[in-house]
Amino acid sequence: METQVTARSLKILLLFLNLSWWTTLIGGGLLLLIVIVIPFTDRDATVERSFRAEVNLKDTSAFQVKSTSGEAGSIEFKEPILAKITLPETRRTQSTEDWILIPIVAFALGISLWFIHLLRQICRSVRDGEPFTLINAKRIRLLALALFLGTVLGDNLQSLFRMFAARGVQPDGFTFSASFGIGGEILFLVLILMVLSEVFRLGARMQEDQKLTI
Amino acid sequence: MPIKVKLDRVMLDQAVSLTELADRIGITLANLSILKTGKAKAIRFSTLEALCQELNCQPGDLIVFEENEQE
Repeated sequence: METQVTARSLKILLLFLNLSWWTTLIGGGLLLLIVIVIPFTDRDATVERSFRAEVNLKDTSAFQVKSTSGEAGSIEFKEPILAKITLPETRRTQSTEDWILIPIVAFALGISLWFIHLLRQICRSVRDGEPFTLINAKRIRLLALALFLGTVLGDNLQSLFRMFAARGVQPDGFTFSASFGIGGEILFLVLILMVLSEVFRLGARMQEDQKLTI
Repeated sequence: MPIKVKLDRVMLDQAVSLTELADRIGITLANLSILKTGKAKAIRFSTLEALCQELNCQPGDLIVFEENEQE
């Protein structure tokens, strides 16, 4: 009974991963196609350009905060806020941002597909009854690497792109900000995956020893 | 590995086939083949005991320590 439940949950997991794979492949592929086509369209036309930017609010007088007794307090934004900025812009030539977007989207798509592919391979090996193998230990290590690259490099590239998109824009009442660095939570997750990888590696060796003990 | 299994030599001396020996000691033909070809990583005392009993030999007749020529 327990095996049946495990098999069913594994089937659902594999189905979900397969669905994620195809959704990412088709959706991401279409997005990449759009991003590639963008530099060749809308030339010499006034368009609205939107981009996300990290901003620091200097003037917070528009915001008010009161205590339960009704006394006014003060508010200060310590962390940068993610804002969507829309500006009218005449697109004359192929802009640099459009070209920069192509490798960023391609990188994000590649990393996402790689991540899902590794998860699928691990799930398939579990389905086939061979989870403790050296190749799975390597896959988990690669998962950690994909997670690290995908989030750390992805986040920093995104910040860089936002900073680049905001160049020449004159802010009033706020300043642009850019946050670079490595998230502690991600490092922790990467560490967990690395430890799991070592457990799998040892498990694989022990299983092989067990198999070859006559 | 400097530990060598000499099961094939003992089997040859006693004219016992692999299938027959596997049947007599109660292990699979595949496992006995692994042991005979020296691919095994370890041997259980129970297997060694069964082999010694059936082949009427000592553990030292089946397993020997041979230092590598390179060393």
